[in-house]
Amino acid sequence: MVAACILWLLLASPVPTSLDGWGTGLLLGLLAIWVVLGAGSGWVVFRRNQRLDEFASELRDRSYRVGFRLVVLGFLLLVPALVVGAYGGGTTVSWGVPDPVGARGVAAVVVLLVLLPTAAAAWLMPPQASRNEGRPGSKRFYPALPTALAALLVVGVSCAWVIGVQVASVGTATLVTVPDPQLEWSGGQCGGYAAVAELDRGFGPGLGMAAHVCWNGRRAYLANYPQGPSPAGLFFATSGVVPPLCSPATDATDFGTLTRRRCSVWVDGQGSVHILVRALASTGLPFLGNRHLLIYLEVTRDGRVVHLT
Amino acid sequence: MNQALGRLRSYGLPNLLTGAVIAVFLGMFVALVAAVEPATWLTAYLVFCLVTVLVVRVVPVEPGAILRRQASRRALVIVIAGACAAAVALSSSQESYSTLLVLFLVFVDVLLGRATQRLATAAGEAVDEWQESLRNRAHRIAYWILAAFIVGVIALPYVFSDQARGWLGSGVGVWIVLAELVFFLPAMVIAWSHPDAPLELVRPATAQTWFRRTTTAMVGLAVSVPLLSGSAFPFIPISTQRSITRLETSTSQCYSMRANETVGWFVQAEFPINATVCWNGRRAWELGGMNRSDCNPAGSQGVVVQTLSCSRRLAADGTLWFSYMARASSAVLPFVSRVVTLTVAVSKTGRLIRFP
Repeated sequence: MVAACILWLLLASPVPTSLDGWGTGLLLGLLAIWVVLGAGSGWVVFRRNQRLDEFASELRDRSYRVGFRLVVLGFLLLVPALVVGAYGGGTTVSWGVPDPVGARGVAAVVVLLVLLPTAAAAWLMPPQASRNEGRPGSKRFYPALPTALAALLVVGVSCAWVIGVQVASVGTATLVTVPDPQLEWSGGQCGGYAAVAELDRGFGPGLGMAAHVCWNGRRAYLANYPQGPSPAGLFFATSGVVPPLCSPATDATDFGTLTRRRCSVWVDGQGSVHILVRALASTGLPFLGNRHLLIYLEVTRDGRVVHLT
Repeated sequence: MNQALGRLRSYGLPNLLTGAVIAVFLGMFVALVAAVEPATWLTAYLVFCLVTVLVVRVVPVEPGAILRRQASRRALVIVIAGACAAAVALSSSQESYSTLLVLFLVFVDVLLGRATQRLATAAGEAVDEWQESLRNRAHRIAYWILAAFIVGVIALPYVFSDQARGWLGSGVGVWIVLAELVFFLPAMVIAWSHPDAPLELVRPATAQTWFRRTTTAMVGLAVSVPLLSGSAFPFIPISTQRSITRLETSTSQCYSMRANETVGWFVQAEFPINATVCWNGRRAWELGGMNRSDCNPAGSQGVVVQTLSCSRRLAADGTLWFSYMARASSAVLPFVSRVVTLTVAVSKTGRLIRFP
């Protein structure tokens, strides 16, 4: 139970801002604890009335009540976690593809719902009831079967995650905002362009990019690229941290890792700005291969988006 | 002392922990509001609401003749479910109605508390064995409904739709419903499933005492203050504070201009101008404070502000014009609004043509 609390708090906490691929390990660890607690409590919380005697039925319902209260407590802890995650830490992006809950938050909520009644039942069950002869409803119930099914579920989740990172198609989400809410420039117009290329619908590694591009009809500029030229009179209007273009702050590395992150920026003869961000995504497991993720943006000198993937 | 400790223990550790965390968060919220807006009416109002909630929790309640009947209780649950469905279905353009919806939910939740005598959250010593069993069963059913809501409305849409991610971020309706379910779903299940028989009282009810009347008055005041203030919002005269300081440099002269227009009372918004304008006889120009980022309210409480226009232009005669127009709508009554316009105009010779 203590281990489950520690693992869940690590998963739900906004600090550290990235789990560096350990998110899947935490999630599987919590599910493994759920299997152990479920086996220990005879899976009483998932059993129907017909298969339970009065004592076990009362124990099951009471476990749900305690579990419900703990879910409320968990949600109350998640609220400041989400607020701190969104606005704190200093490295958080202040603008990008909207994802306020995040895969980490969704995983934390779902695993909380799965785990709590079982954990409460294991906690509330008197010691004599945990022995086989005293286990509620043991005459008509064989706990090895649901334990095996639950263990299979955990293995299935692990396999689905590995296959998703290795094989499944890359999901992309983009956001274009013109005029840019964060920039002001008297010499032309600016736009904000954000993209995320992710695996496993956010439950795998994700490569992010947030570019602020300005143009004046003659050429396009990248505003948040310290190495490039910046037009005069340009300033960030809003407070908050606007990370440089190639900052990994826009990446999602809770459920996988990104290595060899490269960022290329160039302006062609027509005055269009090109941005290419690449990285190698992996599960973090040494015996599995890597996949390429890339995001490419091209904005012309008159603000037309030719490419954003 | 022992009796008090025993009473405390009867609530159970999860209830006590949850209550403690809620109390800490509410305290932090009020402290935060007080730190940002010291000594405002809003802080006083929030403290008053907090005290009202605590007092209401203390007063024993009876369901009364109407809410005693199962059909009435089921109708109440259907109304709450309808309000929740409406909250989830609110589009981003209708979100100003969410405050009204929250007030309505507060009202029906008070009725729900009366109908179920707050059995779901009653202390362990206040309920008998049958009631304990009833509320445990209600929590089991509520748990599965809550899980279905979270998986069906939050987790699965999050995984399968990019639009849903944006909706979860921008919409408040789904979070209002989640809060409603987390805090009141077991009571809703009890109200729905309790048979149409005379309810045994969880705690003996009291007669119509001065304490009960005071509690009713406190609830009435807590609900009516934002409603009345929101209704009166367009009719309260705008109050303006302004100051201008003249600055001189070797090549030009400038004004440092500050103005603050306050719209409404209690439900109110403040629109500032904090600009520096210079002139040299040929033209006037802006040194700061007349950009798009300056078209924002300085502060608002219970008001939704929408910027209608924000422009700065130099006229042919060298006069600098700056105009900020916004619509301020009451968050409680979103159909009540008024348009506020702040205009600054300084000629090339430094004559102040327009200033709030």
